Amino acid sequence: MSKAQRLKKAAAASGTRTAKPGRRSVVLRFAGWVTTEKHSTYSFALLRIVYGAGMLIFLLPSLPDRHYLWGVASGWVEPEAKRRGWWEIFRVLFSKDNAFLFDVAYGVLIMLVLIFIIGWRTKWVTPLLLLFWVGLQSNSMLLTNGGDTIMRITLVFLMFADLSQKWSLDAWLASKRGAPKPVLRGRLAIPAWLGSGLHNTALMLCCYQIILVYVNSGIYKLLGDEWRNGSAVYYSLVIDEFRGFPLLSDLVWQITPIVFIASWVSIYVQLLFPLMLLWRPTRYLALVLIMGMHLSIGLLLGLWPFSLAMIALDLLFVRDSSWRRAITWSSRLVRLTWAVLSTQKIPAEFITTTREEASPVEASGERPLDPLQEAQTDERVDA
Amino acid sequence: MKATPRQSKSMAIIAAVIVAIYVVVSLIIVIPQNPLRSAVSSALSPYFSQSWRVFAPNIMKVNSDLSFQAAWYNEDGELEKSGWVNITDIEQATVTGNLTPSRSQKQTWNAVSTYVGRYNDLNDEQRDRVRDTFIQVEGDGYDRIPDEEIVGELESYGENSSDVVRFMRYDYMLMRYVTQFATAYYGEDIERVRWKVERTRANDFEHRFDENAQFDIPDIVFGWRQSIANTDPEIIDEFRDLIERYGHRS
Repeated sequence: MSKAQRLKKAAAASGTRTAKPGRRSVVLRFAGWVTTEKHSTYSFALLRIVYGAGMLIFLLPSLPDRHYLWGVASGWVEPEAKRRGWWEIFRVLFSKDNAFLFDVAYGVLIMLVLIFIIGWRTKWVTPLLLLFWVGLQSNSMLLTNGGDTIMRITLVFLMFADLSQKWSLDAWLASKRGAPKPVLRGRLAIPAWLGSGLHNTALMLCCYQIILVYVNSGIYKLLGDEWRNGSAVYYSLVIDEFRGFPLLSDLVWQITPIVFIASWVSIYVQLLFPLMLLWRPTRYLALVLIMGMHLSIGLLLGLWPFSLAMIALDLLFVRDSSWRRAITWSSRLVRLTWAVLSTQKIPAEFITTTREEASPVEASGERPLDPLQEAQTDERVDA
Repeated sequence: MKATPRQSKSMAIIAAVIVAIYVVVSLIIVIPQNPLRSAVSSALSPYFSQSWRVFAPNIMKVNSDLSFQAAWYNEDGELEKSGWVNITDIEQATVTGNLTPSRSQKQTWNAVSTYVGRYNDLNDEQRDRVRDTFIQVEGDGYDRIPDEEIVGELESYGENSSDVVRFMRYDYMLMRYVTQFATAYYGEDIERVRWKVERTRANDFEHRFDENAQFDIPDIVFGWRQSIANTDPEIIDEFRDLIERYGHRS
């Protein structure tokens, strides 16, 4: 009898079942990933800020036209808007009969966006923001685009995510005064693993949603002649609705290689996006290319809310550890630039090659201005 | 509070189930022509409605603008007709030179797109009829032909009753909108309006550097409609503000 057979027999005799080690470890790793800690907290914080910016870019330029588009002068769209079947809770917020009440709701929405951006009481503000954001959209079926749709859908998921653990007023207040006391306490308190579980479920849903958008859109592009032959970007640049800067649009389409490359990159980066995410170098390449695409869409077609929403969701694929590394590098870069500008020399702490190369700072007799820097320099030399 | 292995596994299973449900539901919504689509879409619409065609498969090539003409009785009691005014041009004055335009850029653009789509769903005879007037002689003057009469006539030309109703709903909506716009634009008591869809198309990619325009697409001109709309001053002021904001820039 082989060892495996003996183990199986022993397990059967003791009434236990042996799981396949590989499968078990995947399940346990997934369970650990879901419940141990909240992931992508930096990316979610950035998403909060970028979503808010996208909403402001939508709300502020439309401010003078608000009554015409959604308020008292938009009664003519009501038969079709009503037929879309929005829940009444969304439909009652923005009055079509009373301009003052409409303005109050519009003002509340702008305030909610601002509070969302700075990250104050985010877990309470997010559902309210969803309510008012969708409430405005439900007043007309003519004015929404893909960016509004993706924000509307993902806001449902985001209600369960921790969007303010970093770069927020909530985080700043918590660091000063300690974490706020939870509303539900004692036996009703929400355990940390449940909070992490909900947060990470929201993360998975948001990541899935952006993959769905890209793959779906990539497949449709693959079916279009103009996308396959590389001319599609030309047509998007000559449509009036999207020609914010006609001279710039005309300049871009007149450079034929740009049209071809941009059209093909649009199809294949979108189609291959999920595969490119699997390996870190291709993941970064996919993110750079696709965010470049969105920035171009924002600049050339004026679709900033859409572009910003997509960029915010793309960034969810960047892990916290990568953000920490990036923050460390950039703070070093800032300190180096500051030190060079103020001393006209490269401080020794940034020169990690040889002791001899570090010595000119000391030899020059110039001391770094920052005492912390001085201590670090001394320590390095002493070492 | 650290999760016990059992809590951890339960949470992971719940998370996986939630994600799996959304994956299935969203795929049913976005995959065209599947048998479950209408049931799932109607249950989750409009909140989770989504379509990610984004300029595909057939990229947009035509600019469609909505222009109107209005008529009113002047001081001599004669029916006076205006020239054509392009509303889309006025709304899209917000686009040029603007990094972040107002959403007015989309309003008539999208309205025209839906309206023309519904017009195209009609058959040839029905299209001919809706391009004609909906006003008839009534005694010494004129009056609108009742809706049910128009609908009945259109339905007699084909078996597409729902297409007829869908078109007529939008037509009625546009009549109200254009009447309000015309009232603000001319400051007159508007008696009737009509509109046309003006379409322009840039040269194809192969002819992008040609001087001559490759396409000359005829306008679709619709017949006169009797004006029945709420012309409350508060409403008309909003239209007038918009025209003043953008009209002179177009």
